[in-house]
Amino acid sequence: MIVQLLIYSFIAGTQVLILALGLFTIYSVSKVQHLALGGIAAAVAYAFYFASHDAALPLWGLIAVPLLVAILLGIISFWLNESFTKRQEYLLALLVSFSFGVALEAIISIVFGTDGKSLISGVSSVVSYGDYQIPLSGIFIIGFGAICALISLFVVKFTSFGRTLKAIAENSFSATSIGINERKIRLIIYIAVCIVAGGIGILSGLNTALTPMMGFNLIIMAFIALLVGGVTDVRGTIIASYIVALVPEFIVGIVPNISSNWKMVLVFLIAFVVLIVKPEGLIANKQRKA
Amino acid sequence: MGYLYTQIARFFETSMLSVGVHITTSIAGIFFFGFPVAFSFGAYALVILIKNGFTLWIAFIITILLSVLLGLIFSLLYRRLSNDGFAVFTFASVLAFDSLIKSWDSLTGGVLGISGISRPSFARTLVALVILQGILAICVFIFEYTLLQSPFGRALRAHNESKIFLDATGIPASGIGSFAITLAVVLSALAGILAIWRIQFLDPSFGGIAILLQILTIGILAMKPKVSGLILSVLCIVLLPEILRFFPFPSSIMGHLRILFYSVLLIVLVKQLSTRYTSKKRFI
Amino acid sequence: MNKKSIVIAVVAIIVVVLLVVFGGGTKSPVSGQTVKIGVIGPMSGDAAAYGQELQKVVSYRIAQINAKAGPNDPKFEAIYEDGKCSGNDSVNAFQKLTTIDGVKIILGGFCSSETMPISSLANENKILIISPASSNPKIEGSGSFVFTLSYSDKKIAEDLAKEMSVYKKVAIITEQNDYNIGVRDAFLEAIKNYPNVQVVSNETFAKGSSDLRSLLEKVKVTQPEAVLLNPNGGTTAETLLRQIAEVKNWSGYKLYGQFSYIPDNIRSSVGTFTEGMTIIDAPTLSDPEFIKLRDDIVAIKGGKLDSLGSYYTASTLDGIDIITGLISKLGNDSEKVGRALSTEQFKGFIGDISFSGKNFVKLNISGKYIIEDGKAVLQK
Repeated sequence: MIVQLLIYSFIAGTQVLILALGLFTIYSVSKVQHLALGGIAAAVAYAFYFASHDAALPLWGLIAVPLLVAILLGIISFWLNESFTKRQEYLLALLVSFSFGVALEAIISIVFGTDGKSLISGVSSVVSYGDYQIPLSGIFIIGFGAICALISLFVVKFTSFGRTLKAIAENSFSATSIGINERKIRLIIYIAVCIVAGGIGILSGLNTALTPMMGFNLIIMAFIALLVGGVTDVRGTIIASYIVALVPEFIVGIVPNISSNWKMVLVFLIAFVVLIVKPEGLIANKQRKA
Repeated sequence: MGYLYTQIARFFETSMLSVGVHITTSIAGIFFFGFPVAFSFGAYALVILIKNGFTLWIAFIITILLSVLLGLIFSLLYRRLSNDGFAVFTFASVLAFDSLIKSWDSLTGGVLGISGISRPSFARTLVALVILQGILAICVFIFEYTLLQSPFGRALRAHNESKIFLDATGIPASGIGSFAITLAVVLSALAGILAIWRIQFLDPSFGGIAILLQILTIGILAMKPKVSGLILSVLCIVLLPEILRFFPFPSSIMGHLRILFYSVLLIVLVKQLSTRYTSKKRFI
Repeated sequence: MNKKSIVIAVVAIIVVVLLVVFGGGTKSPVSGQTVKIGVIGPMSGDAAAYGQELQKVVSYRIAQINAKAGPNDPKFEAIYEDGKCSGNDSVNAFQKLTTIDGVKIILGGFCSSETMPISSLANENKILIISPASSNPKIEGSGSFVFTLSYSDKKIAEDLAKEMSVYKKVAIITEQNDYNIGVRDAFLEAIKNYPNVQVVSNETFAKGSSDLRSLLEKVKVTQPEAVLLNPNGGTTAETLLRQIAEVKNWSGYKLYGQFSYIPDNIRSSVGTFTEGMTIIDAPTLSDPEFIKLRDDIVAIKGGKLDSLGSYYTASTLDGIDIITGLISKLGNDSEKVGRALSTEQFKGFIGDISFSGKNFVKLNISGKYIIEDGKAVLQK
C-alpha cells in the first residue's frame, strides 16, 4: 500500500508543483501572489470541456479554444495586477487577484452549473507493474511537469530571456535602468503561466473530474507549498509541493480513524508548524537588508 | 416586517465584522483574511459550550476568551510571516476551518449542523434581538471612533504608512498589528454570536468566502479612517444585493450572481479607489 | 460630507426605501382568490439539479390544479426560494417567504439540511412545512408543524445493513454531505444488530472530492467482502465508481449502494462492472396514472426527472395535492391544515399517506434493486 500511496501522492504533488512554480515565477517578476491562478486553471479546463463536449470541435479546436482562453485570462491578469506592481501595492494586487479568481468560479458555476463534469467517459486506462498501477492521466501529469521543468530550466539557463527574467527577479529597478522592458516581460510571464495552469487544469480534469471549485483547492495547496518552501528559492517550492501532498496522504492512508476529509486540516497544520518554526520557508536565500 | 428586521439585523452583524476589517485592512494596512474563521468560531464556541451545560454568561465569557486566544494565534502568524504570506495563509485557514468543523462531527454536528439554538431570554423575539444588536453596534462604533481619535488610532495609521518609522518612534509595529488583529477577531466572534441568535441554526455554511468578499469590499470602500464612511459602506454593501431579489433572474444562478456581484465590485473598487486613499509611496 | 459619501448615502437611502416598499409591509396572504405556497429547494449549488426538477413538477401540477379549479375555488401560486441545501440560505428563504410573501404553508425544504434549520422557526411562527424529500431521522420529533413525505434514512440504512449482514467484513465509503452522513450514521447503528459483521473500513471524503484513489487503496487493504458506496448523486457517484473499477487486483467483494446509483447513466461509464450490485432505495412506482403524469411533465417542461427519480417526483406531486386540497377545504390556515395532516389519511401516488402524529410519513417498504444487464431491476 505504501508504494501505491507514494505513486498517487507523487501525481498529486506534481499538480501542486506545476501551479506552485507558476506562482513562484509570477511572484519573482512582479512580487504579486496571483491567487486567481486556480480559477484560471479551472476556466481553461472548462473551455476544453466546452470544445470537446458541447461544441464537439476537431483537434485544432480542442487546442485553440483553451489556448485562447488561457491567453485572454493571462492578459486580463496582467492588466489587473500591473498598476499595483508598479506602485508596489502588492497586497491590493493580491486582493484583486483573489476577487478575480472568485469571479471566474462564479461565472463557471453560472455557465456550466455546479455539478461536476467528466472529461472522459469510461474507466481511465492504467499502467500496471506487478501489484502497482498508475493511471494514464497521472503519467501525462508527471510528463507535463517534467516537460515544463525542462523548458523552464532551458529558458532560464541558456537564453537571454532567462537572464532577463533573473535580472528582474533580482532587482527590477536596476533591470529597468539598463533598458529592459519589464512590462513586456511580465505580460509574457502572465500568459505563459496561465497556459501552463490551464494545462494542469485539463490534465487534472482528465485524471479526476471538473468542478468549479477545483481551482481553489489546487491553488491553496500550491500557495501553502510556496510559503512552506520559501518564496525565494525554487528548490524549497519543489520539496514543499511534494511534502504537502505526501504527508497528509500518508497520515490518512495509515491512521485508521482519520479519513481523507481531514486532509485539508492536516495540510494546514503541517504548514502552520513549519511556518512558525521557519517563517521564511524551508529553503530561503539570504537577502541583505538595508 | 420580519424581512426588514432581518435586514437590519444583518446590517448590525456586518457592522461589527466590518469594524474589524476597518481597523486591520483599511487603517492599519494588514491584509487579514481570517474573518470568516473568527465569525464561525464565535458562534460554534458559544453553542457548543451551552450544549455542554454551561450557562449563557459563562459560555459567553469563555467564548470571548477563546476568541482572544484565536486572535493571538493569528497575531503570532502575523509576526512571523510576510504581509502577503499572512494574507494567503489566513485565507487558507478559512478552508481548513471549514474542513475541521465538517469533519469533527462529534463536537460540531458536522455537515448536519446544530439545530434548536435558542435565543437568550433578554432577546427572545427578533425585534428584541435587533434592539440588542443595535445597542452593541452603536457601542462598537463609538469604541472605534474613540480608538481612532486616540494615539493608538494614529499609531494604526502610521502602521500602514511605515512600520519602520513606527518602530523608530518607540512604538512596536508588530504589537500594534497584533492588537488590531486580536481586536478584529474578537469583534468577528461577537458578530458570529449575534448572527447565530438570529438564525438559530449552525452549520459549516455559516462562515465562508461570500462573507469574506462582502466585508473586504466594505473595508476597501471605507478606506478612510472615518466611522461615518464605514457605516455608509456597510449599509450599501449589505443591502444593495438584496435588490437582486426583485429582478427576475433564474433562481439557479442567484447565489452565484451575488458572489459575482461582490467580486466584480471589489475589483472595481480596489482599482478605482486605491490610488486615492492609499499612502503615496516614494520611489528612489 | 464629500462627494463619495453623498453618493453612498443616496444609494443606501434608495436601497432602504426599496426594501421598505417591497419588503416592509406585511402583505395579505391571500390576494383575491390566489393562495401563495412557498417552495424551498436547492435551486443553485451542488444539488441544483434536484431543485430545478422540483420546480418543474410543482409548476406543472399547480398549473393543472388551477386549470381544473371552479369559479369559487382558490387558485394557487408557487413562490420558489433557493435553500441551496444550506442552513443559512434555508432560513433566509423561510424568512423571505413568510414575511415578504405572506406564505403560511411551505413545500420544502428539499434537503434535510434545509428542513432541519427551519423546523424550529416553523413551530415558533406556526408555519406549516411539508418536505417532499428530507430523510434525516433527526426530523422525527421536530414539532407539530413539520412533515416529510420521504422515507427516513434509518429505513434505508436498516435494509442495507440487513442485506449486508451475510458478510463478515464490510466497508462503507461516504461523501461528507448531509444526506450521506445521515445514511452512514444510521447504517453504523443498524449494523450493530449483527454481531458477526465487522465494519473493517469506514471512510469519509470531502464533498465534491474527485481524487479518491488513495482512499480506495486504504479500503482495499482491509479486504472487505462487501462495500457500501454512499456518495451523493451525480458526478461524484460516477467518479467513485470509475476509480473503483480502475483498481487492479481487487476482487471478491460485492457492491452495495443507495439512490445515487439508480440512474443508468451513472453506471454506464463502467460497463459491466456494476452487474449484481444491490441498491436499496425507495421503490420505483409503476402506477400507470403516475407514469403518464410524469411523462407529461417531461414532455411539457422539457429535460428529465432523473435526479428526483420516481418516488420523489410522486412525493412532490402528493405534497402539492395534499396542501392544495386541504387549503381548498379548510382555508389557508396552517394550524387547521397541520392538524388535518397529522390525523387524516390521504391517497397519493406514493401509496396511502398518513402521519398519525409523527413527522415522517408512515411507510414500511423500500425497494431492493439488483443491476442486471446494466439496468436497476426492482426485486419483488
